[in-house]
Amino acid sequence: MVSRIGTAGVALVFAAGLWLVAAPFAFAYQRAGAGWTGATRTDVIAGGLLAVAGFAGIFAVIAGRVSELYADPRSAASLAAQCTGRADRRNTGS
Amino acid sequence: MTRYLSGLCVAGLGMCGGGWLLVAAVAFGGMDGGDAERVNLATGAGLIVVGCVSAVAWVTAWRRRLRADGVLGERFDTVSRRQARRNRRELTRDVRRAARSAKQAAREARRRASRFPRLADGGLADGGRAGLGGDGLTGGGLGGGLLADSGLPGSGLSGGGLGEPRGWIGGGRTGYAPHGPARAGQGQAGPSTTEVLVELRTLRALLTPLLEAAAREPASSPTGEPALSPLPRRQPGQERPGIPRQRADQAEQADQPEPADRGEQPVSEQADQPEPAEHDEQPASEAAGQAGGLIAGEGELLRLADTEEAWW
Repeated sequence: MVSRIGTAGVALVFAAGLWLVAAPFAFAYQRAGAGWTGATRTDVIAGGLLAVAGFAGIFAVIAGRVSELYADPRSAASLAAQCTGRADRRNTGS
Repeated sequence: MTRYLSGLCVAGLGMCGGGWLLVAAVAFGGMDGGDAERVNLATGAGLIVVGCVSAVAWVTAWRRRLRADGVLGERFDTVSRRQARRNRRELTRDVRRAARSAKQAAREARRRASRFPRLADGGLADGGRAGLGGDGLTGGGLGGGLLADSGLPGSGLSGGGLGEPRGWIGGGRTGYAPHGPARAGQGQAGPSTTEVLVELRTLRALLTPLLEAAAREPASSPTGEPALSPLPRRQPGQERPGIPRQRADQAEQADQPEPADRGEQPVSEQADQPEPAEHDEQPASEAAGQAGGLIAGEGELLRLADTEEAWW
């Protein structure tokens, strides 16, 4: 549950970045064809950085979770193999 | 661990971005209260809140994982103030109880240490002399030095366990008490006063027949000299005459030519000679032969006491 909240937070950061990039054009305080104002530059740069960071965060969280999912069966399989080997040695007496 | 770190980094970046948006909207101006300012303020505040929640979530998740892996220890339950006060009272009570028992043990050890050296040195035997025999003989039974002081050879009464074999060393050395502990302070549990009294009664019961036998026998020689003359004391530089190994060595040395500075007589002859006349004392074997009765077996006892085991 807590990890999901964290993941949602990272996703919200990514969404906020996207929103910041799109806000000057959505609210029309940056007119089309004119030079960018200071507010537009601030929002686009900050939103772009936040969106990139949010995307990287989401990617890292998903990648970490997947690697854990891979690591757990691997460790479980190795433990199972060890137990099986001991049982075989016990049965064969060697 | 990767996802926790990346989640924390993104949460931190979100908080920084939100802070920047707030600062840019308020401090730098230029937005003139329009839509841009409202968007920046709202987005900045939202980013800060989201970053904080996300950071807390990732920290909590990471700690849970570390605790599940055994890296972090189990969390202690919070203790209420009442429980904490109760625990503190119990701890104080335990500490006081331990200190009290330690004081009692130290007091008991001091009492034993002050009681038993006196017993081993004959101090208590002096006090109990009149009660035991009244003649000064049985009082010496506890300390070897008292035996030597009374004029009786220690081996005559009850063997080497009571005093020094021939009363030469004497002096009431500790550790020569017949039945008591060897020495106080060695960690052994010393006897109580009742046990000491019981042992004194046992000693009295053992010594009474001997004293009666000694009273029946003539206590002095016909010439009026005391029958139990004190044994000769070893002179400085005098060889121990009774150790068989030394006798054998001396006999071997006697066969070889003596150096000039050692004197003319061989050592074996010196050992066979009686004591010097200036002491005017009888040899121990002669005293034992004259005494009879109580000291009837003293010759044998002296011979046994002269063995190497008695010396070492």
